[in-house]
Amino acid sequence: MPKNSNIKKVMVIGSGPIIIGQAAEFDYAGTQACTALKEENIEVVLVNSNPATIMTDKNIADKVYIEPLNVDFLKKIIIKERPDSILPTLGGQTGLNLAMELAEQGFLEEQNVTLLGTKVETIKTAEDRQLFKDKMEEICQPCIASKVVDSYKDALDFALEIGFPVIVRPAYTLGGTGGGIAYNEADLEQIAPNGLRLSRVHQVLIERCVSGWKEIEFEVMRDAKGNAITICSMENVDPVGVHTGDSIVVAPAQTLSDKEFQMLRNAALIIITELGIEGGCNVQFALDPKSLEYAVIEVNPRVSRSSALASKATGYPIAKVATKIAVGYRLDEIINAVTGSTYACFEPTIDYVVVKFPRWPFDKFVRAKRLLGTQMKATGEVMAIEVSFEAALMKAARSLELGIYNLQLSHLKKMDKDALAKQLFVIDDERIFVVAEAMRKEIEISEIHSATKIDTFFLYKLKNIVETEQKLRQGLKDGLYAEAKKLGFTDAVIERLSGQKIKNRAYASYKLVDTCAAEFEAGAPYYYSTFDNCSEHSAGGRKKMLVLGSGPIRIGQGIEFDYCSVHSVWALREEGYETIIANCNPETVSTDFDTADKLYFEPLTPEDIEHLVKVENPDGAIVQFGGQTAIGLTKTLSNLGVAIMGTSEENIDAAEDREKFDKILEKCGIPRPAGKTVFTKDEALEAAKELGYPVLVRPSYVLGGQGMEIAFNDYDVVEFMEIINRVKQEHPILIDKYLLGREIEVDAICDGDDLLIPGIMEHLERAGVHSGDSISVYPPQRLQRKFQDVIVEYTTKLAKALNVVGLVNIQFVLYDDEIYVIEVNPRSSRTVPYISKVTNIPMVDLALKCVLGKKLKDLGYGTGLYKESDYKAVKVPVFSFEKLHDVETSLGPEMKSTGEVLGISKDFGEALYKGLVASGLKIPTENASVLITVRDTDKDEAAKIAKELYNLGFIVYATENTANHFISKGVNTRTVLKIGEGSLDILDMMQAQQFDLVINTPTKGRRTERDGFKMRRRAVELSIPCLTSLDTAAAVIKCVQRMKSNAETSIVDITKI
Amino acid sequence: MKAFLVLDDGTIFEGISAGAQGTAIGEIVFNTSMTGYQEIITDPSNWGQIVLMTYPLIGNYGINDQDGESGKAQAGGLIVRELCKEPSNHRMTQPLGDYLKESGIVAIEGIDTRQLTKEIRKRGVVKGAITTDCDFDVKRIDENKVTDAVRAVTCKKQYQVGCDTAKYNVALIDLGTKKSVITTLTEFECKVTVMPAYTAPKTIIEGGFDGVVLSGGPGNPKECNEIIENIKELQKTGIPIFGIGLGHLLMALASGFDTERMANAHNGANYPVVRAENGASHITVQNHKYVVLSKSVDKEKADITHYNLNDNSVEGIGYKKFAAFSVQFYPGKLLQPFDTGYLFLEFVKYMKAYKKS
Repeated sequence: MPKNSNIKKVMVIGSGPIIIGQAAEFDYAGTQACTALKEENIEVVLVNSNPATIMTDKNIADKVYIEPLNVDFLKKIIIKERPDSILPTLGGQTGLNLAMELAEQGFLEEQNVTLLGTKVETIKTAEDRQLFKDKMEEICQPCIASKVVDSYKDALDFALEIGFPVIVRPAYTLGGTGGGIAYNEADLEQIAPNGLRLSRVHQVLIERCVSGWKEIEFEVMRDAKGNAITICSMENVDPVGVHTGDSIVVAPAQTLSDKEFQMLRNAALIIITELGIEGGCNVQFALDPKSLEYAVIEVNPRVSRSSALASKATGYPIAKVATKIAVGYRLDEIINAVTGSTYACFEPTIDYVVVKFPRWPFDKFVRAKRLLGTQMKATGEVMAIEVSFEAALMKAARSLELGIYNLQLSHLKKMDKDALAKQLFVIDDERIFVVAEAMRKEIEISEIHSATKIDTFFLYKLKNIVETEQKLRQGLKDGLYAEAKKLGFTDAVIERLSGQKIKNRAYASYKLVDTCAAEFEAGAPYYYSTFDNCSEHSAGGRKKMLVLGSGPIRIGQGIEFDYCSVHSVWALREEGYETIIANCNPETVSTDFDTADKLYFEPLTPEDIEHLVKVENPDGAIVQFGGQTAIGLTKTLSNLGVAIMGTSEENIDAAEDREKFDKILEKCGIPRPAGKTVFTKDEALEAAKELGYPVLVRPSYVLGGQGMEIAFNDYDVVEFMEIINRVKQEHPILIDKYLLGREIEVDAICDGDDLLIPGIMEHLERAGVHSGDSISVYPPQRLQRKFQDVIVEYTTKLAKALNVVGLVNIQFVLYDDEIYVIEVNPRSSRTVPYISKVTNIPMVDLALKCVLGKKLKDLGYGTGLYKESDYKAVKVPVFSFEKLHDVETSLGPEMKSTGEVLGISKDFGEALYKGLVASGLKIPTENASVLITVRDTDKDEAAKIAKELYNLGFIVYATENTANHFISKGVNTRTVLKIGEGSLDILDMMQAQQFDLVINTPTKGRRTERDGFKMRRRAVELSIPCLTSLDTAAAVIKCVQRMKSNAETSIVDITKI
Repeated sequence: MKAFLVLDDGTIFEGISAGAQGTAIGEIVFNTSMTGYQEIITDPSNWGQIVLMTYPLIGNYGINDQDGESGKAQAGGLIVRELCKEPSNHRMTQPLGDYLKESGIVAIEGIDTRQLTKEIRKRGVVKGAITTDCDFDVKRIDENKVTDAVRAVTCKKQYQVGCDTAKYNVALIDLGTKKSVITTLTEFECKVTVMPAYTAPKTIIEGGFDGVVLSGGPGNPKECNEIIENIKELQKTGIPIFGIGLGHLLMALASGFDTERMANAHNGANYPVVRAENGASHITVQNHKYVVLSKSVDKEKADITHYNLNDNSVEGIGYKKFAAFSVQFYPGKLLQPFDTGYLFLEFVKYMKAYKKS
C-alpha cells in the first residue's frame, strides 16, 4: 500500500506558543512532518502562531501562516489555500482540538478536506473520558474506577461512593490543567469546579486514586494495514500521582519482569488496534507493584512530549514515520533512517539507559507552590544517555544548569534526620534530592520507600551514588576513581569530595545510538558519552565547527535559541563545514540526528564539553546562538584552545562586566541609567538612596532578568537583597536608577567593519516590564525619526567598540527625550526568529557568514538600517500562570512568559489584534464588564481608559477611591467592595463571573499578602483576562474598537513577504 | 572476585565474576531483548552457548519460580555489563546472581557489551570462555565442541500437560522446548504429551494423537539425522505437524531442503516477519543461527509462507503434500492482527480436519 496519490496539498497545524505542557517537542514533530511530506512532493501549508519555530521557516513548508490558532483563522486559510487534507496529530493537543472542531462543525466535509491519519471517531473515543472508558470495557482492558461528571454535586457523590482520595481530571485540557488529587471533601470543592470550568466540554473525570502504583508508558505505532509496533517503554521513577511531564522518567522500563512487560505491551497494542490508530500513539498504564493488576490511565492518539522523548531515546523518528503512515505507507515500506538498511517495522532495542529530568520554573518563581501532582508545572526537560542508571541520572541533573553536580542541594544539607523523614512525604521538585539527603543522614531504604513509594530498584541506585560520594570523602583509593566515573561523577566533584587532585584523568569515550543495540551497522551519527575503552566516533576529514545548543526550555531561554542553533548548523553546512552539535534537550529540532553532521547528546557543562573537545578537536566553536547557556561556556572553550568564532571571549565578557561596560559606554559617549555595584544589603540601601527611588535591583550575569526587581523603597531593597543572596553570588549585585520610559530594542549583524540592522522594535509597555514579557512592535509606530537615528548611531558605536562579529542585541530606553542604553547582549536573542521572518533577512545565516569572515557588503542585504517592511509585526507574550499556583502575575523586570505569538499584517491595528487573539486573550466585546483597580499614580491615566471602555459599552467597576476618581472625571462607574469589606466583595464578584476583564496595576512592593495579588491570582484561576499594564489595556481597547467595527481580517502567507 | 572473558583470538577482557566460579566455554551469542533474561537463560535453545545481553542492566527484577522456560538454567555462561545487586519485584524469589551461582552458571559483568556485540556482528562466529581461573589456557576454546545438543536438553521421559478433557491430543517432540509453547498449546484446548526427541515414530503414530509439534531447540540441525528420519516417517502418515525453530529446520531437512549457518544470528524480541499470504508484518521473538536456504525450498513441495523483512531469510514454510507448516520464530499467542497466535489456530484447524477424516 504505497502513498495515497490523491494527497497533493496538506495543511499542518502547529501547536502555538510554548506553554507549560506544550513545548518545543511539537516544533520537532511538526518540522519532521513537513519534511516528510515534502519528500513525497506534497505541498505543505503550515499554520502556527509561534514565530520562534523552525517549522514556520520558509524552507520547511511551502506556505506559512503565522496566524492565530483558532477555528476562524483556520477556516480563512483553508478557504484560501484549498488543501485536500489536514494532518491533525502532529500539533499537540492544540492542533488536534482545532482539527476536531473543524471536523465536528462539518466544515472539513463541506470543503472536501480529509483528516489524515487516525480517524475522527478514534480520536473522539480516545479523548472523551466516557467513550474511552466504555471502549476499554468492551475490549476487556481495565481502567481505574472513574466517572465523568459535569457538576460538582455528581463529583462529590461519586467520590463518596469510591472513597477519597480521588483524582480530578478535566477533559480536553493540556498537561492536566485544572486537575488535582482531592484527599477530602474540602479539596474536591476547590479542584472540581475549577476543572469543570477549564474543560472545553465542561466535564471532569473523578477517578480512584492509584497513587504509588508504577507509572509505565508505551510509545506505539500502527499503520492503516494493521501492523503495530512498540517503539519504547518508559517508566516513571515517580510513581503514579505525579504528572508524567513532571516525573523523572527512565527508558526503557527498568523494573518490569518480561511477563509484566509483555502484558503491558500486548495491552498497548491491543488498545491501538481496537481503537484503529493510524500513526503514533502514547499509552499510559498504572501497574500495581504488588500484583499483576494494571489499569490503563490514558491514551494520546497523537505524537506527544513522550514521543519526542522516545524518538530521541531510541533514534526512531516517530513523527516522520507517523506522517508517512498518514499519507498511506505501511510500516514495512518505510526505511529505518538510522540503519539505512532495515525497515521502520521493528521494535527499537537499546543498549543504554535514558533518563529524562523535568526543568521547573521554580528558580524564577520563588514563591510558587512547588508541589507536584496531576497538573504539569515543568517548562522543559533534559535527557541524558549513559550505560548505567546512576550515570544517566547524574548527567541529567547537571544538564538542568542549576549547579547540581552530585544530587545535593545545599539548603537540604542543614536538615536533620527527623526533618528529612517528614520531608520525604512532600512530593515536590526537590524530592529526589531529599531522598539522597535522607540517605546521607542514614535513613533506611525501607523507610524512604514507604514514604515515597519510589521503587527500591531506583532507591538502591541512588544509594550507590551517595555511598560512593561518602567513599570519595575519605580520599581517592585504588579503583575508586574509575568506579566514580562509571557512576557519572565529574572530575570536579571527585576532586572536591576527596580533596585530592586527580593524577591520571579518564576521558570519555562515545557510543552510538542506533535503534538496534549494534545488531546492524548504523550510519546515524548520534553519540553519547560513557567511560569505556572503546569509542565509536569517527574523526572526519573536513574542517569542523562545534555548535552549542541552549539546553532545556526555561523561562527566559526558549525555543528561539534552538531556532538559532539549527540555522547556524544549516549555514555552516552550506559553507562546507562539518557540523557538530551538543545539546541535552530531547524536545528540539537541534537534537534530531538529521540536523547536524554529528549529534552529541550531552550536558552543556564545562567538563562534558571538555571531553567532547578532546575527541573531536573542532576547528572552532559557535557560542552566540545557544543563548546564555552557550555564552556561559565561552571561557571553557577558549581555555581548551578552541577558537571562539565571532565576537571574542574578551568582548563577550566586556558586555557583561559592569565596570568594563561602563568604560566602553563612557568612551562612546553613550548614556546609561546611573547605577552602582554592591554586595551587601547595607551597600544596596546606600546606593538606592544616592540614586533615588525607584531603582532596579539585579544580580549580574543572569538570564531573562532572573532575580531582577524594581524597588520603590527600602523595604523592597531589603527583601530583594535577601532573595538574591539566598544563592551565593560570585558577581556583584547591580543597583540602577530605574527610568520609566519606553523601551526600544535592536538586533544587529556585524562583520567587524559594517553592520546591518534588520529592524528596530519598540515595546508597547513602558520600561519596567521585561523585554520578553512586553508586546514588541516592528517597525516602531511611535518612535520619531531622530531617535531612530540615535539608536542606529549608538548601535554602530557599541558594536564597533565591542568588536562584535555576528549578532548583537541591544536594549534602549527613551526617557525625557534622551536615549539610554540598558543592556547589550553579544549574542542572538529572542527576537531574531521573528524579525528574520518579517524582514526576510536570514539573520542567523548572515551572522554566521560574518563569523566565518565574510563581509556584509558582499552578502546582498546591504548595511545600516534595512528598509522598513510593508508588514507590521506584533509579538505578544504568552504566560502559563494557570499552571503555577501562587505566582505573581503582574509584569515586572523579571521575565514570566513561557512563549510568544506573532500578529502580522500591513495594518498595525490588525497585526496587534491578531497578536492578542493568538495569545489566547479572550477579548470581551458585547455586554462586557470591566473591573479597574489601579495604584494612585495611575488613576488619571486609568480614567482615560475607563472612559474609552465606557464609550465602547462596558460597564465599569472600581473600588471606592478609584470609582470616585473616575466619576469625578465623568465616567459612570459602579463601586465594588474591597476584599474583606463585606459579602460580595471583589473576589466574590469575580467568582460569580461578573467581570469579563480586569485591569489592575500592582501596588508597590512584592508582598504577596496584598489584595491585588489575590485578585490577580483569582483572575487567572477563573480565566478572566487580567491586564497589569495600562499600555496593554490601551492596546486591548484598540482591538475592541476593531472588533466592534466588524472589519474583515486578512491572512498573510509569510513566504510571500 | 575477578573473572575473565577470553575470546578465541586470544583477546582478554577483565571483569567481575557474576555467577558460579569455574570456566564456561562456548560460542558467544548476543541477545538484544531488554527484558526476559530469566526466560533466555532457561531456554534450552541456548544450551551450551554463552549468552551476552546487549541491554546493560540485567537482573533488575531478580528470578522468580514461574517464568523459567525449562526446569533449569541452560545457557553455558552469561555476559552482562551490570548485574543488579538489589533487584526488586513482587514475584522475585532470589537475585539473578544467587541463581547463577546455585545453578553453576559462570557469568561475568563489567564488560563493554556493545563493543563485544560489534565484534560478533563483524566476525559472525565468536567462541570464547568466561573463567575465574587466572591460568586458563586459550587452547581449550578451540578444543571445545558442542555435539548432541538435542540429546542433552530433551526430556528423559514423556509427560503430559493439560487436562484429559481437552479437545485435541498433541504430541510435542521435545527438541529443547520452551515451557511457554506447551502452555500456549494448552490454552488452545490441547492436551500435550511431551516426548523425548528420539522417541520412535511408531510410538507417536500409534499414540492416537491429533497432531505433532516439533519444538524449538539447540544446535546444528544437520547433526540430527535420526530425528530427521523419524520426521520423514511422520510426514508419510499425514498427521498435522507444526514445526517451531529447530523443529522448522528439521522439517525442511526431512523434506529435502537445505539449511545453513547464518552470517548473523537472530536472537532477540524485535524481528519483523512478513506473512506472505496477506503482507502483514509481525514482530517476533527469535533465537536461531541456522536458517533454511530459501533457494532450496522446492516450490512443488512447499511455499515460503513467512520471510524476514530485513534480511529476507526464510521464517516460515507451508507444506503442500501434507498438513504441516513450520516457523523459524517463536509464535506468539494472541489472536490479534499484530501477533502470530493465528499459527496455533491454524494448527488446531488442521487437527480438526484430521480428526474428521
